[in-house]
Amino acid sequence: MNVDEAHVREIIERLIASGAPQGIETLTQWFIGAVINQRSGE
Amino acid sequence: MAQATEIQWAGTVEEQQIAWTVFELLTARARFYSEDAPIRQRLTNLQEYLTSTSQVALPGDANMARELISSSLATNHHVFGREEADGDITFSTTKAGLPPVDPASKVDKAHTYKSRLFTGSRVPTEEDLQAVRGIGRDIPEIIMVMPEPTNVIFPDVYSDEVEPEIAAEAELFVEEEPEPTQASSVLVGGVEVDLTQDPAAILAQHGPAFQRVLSNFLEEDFRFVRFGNEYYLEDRLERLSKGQLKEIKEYIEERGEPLSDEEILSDGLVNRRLGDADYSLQRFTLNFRLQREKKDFRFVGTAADRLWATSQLPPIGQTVRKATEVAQDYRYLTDPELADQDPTTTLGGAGTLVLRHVLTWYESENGVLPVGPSAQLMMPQPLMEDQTVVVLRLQDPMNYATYLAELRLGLGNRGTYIAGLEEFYQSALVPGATFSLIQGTTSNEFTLEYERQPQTESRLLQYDSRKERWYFGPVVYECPIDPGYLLTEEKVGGLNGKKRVSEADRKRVDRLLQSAFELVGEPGEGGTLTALIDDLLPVLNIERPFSSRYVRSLIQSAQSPQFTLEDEALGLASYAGS
Repeated sequence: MNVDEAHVREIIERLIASGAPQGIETLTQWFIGAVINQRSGE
Repeated sequence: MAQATEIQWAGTVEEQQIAWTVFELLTARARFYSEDAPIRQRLTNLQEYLTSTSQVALPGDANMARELISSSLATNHHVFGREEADGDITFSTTKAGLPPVDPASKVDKAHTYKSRLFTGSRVPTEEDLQAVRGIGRDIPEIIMVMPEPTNVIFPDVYSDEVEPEIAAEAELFVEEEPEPTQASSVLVGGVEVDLTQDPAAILAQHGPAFQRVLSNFLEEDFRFVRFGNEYYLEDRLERLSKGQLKEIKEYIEERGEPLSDEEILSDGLVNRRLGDADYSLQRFTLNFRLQREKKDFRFVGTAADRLWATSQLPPIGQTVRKATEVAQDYRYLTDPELADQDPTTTLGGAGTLVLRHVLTWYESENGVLPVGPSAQLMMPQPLMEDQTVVVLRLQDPMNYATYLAELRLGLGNRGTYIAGLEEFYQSALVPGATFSLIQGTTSNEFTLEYERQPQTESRLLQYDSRKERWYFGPVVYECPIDPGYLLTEEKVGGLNGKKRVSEADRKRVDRLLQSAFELVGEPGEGGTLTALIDDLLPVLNIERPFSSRYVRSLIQSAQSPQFTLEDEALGLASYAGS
């Protein structure tokens, strides 16, 4: 399991949309969401 | 009049004469008018006047005379204005020799407040609002550019270069490429995670594994920056100029104490707010930028109370001994076998911890409080990895006072202690007093409490720093006392008039223990001295901090056979003499 470009893009987009810094817990939730979305989209 | 001579009259000589006469007549009656104020007169009145005074030659017929006057003035329209109202004609001019101008036409309507306010106004769209918050901008390409494949953790992720031979092969057999298989599970940190589960279940079960993978990645990726446990994008943070950093530094130093990021944002940055970003982003920006200026700023707060001090700011708590010396004195606190478990209780249903403590001479003199294993449970956690100080806010409701104190975190063989309590100790307590430290609403807030007692006067141990001698003097106090720790003349009268132990002796714990036996020990057979550890402790804690367990271990140590623990249950020890 690696962090790939799609995951990072989603995290960056969500960080920018939130307009505020986020804790690692929130980023982990986003990361898991990105992983699930990516797998279900394959 | 000066103006009249400059006017170029138009028309025939007769008409010019009439126009000039009328102009002279009008300006004569408007001597106190301003230069551009209109001077009006009806044609009927002009005709009547000119006919009666015979200043100009007019036809005998009234109508013709009226017509001549009217045409003369109309011909000189560069001097006279003409208005028709109520069936009569009115001519007007000004002292400047120009037809009057309507004042309303002089107003610059192109730049009125109204026009500025409403021209081009529209209800802001969602995009506009996002732009104000700084989140509507397109994501710069630099953010989305993946870093070079130097990431040692995931070396194969970014490699999009395809070797020519393989690429050619791929073109040849492109149709035979297998369909991507839909994986329903991934391997995270060596554990297989089923992705068909509910996301909440995945988070609950495998959250820490995902978090480890992600945080390792974020630490390596230059696009992300971190302050404490929060992350954001470096590209989106504003920069602080050298002037602004200097301004912040001077502001903190002017206030003379560490300041929170909120205070710095609201008051310290006088000349400029940080961009249009949200407040939380401004806070993050400020904290992140100050964190980088290690030469000038140091973080002394917690996750909730982000306090900043400067390198020039004097430390809170001026101990008699050096900070490093005190930390060394408390090194026994780092050994769980030697540190006493101070009694802690919980207050109310909220689980607030209360630490009860007996003040020693050493603590009173230096304004410090040791943080043993049980007190450690109450203390705030530092936010930064390299943080050595956390500033505490202490309330003293008994004396209506508040203090700032420093929790100095021990590293290596140095003990952790609180400094900055000297004012509280000197004003309210005496060595031997008992008091409580109660947890506050936030992790770095505490309340100091003691039960006020009726006034008591005792002759207690004091030190004359001028004569460098111990002496006993009357002291009045209102705090509760642990009688065993009160340094009265009856108990330690032997110190009266003596000097303090030398620095060399202070470093030798066996010499201090020996002196304590000599001071409070009971003579026994064969020149031995016996004493309870509880009686030795207050005396030992004059020059250097000791815990009961520490003293017990010294007595039982094979390196000091002159000391013997006679009764373990009672804590009775003996000293065989030198």
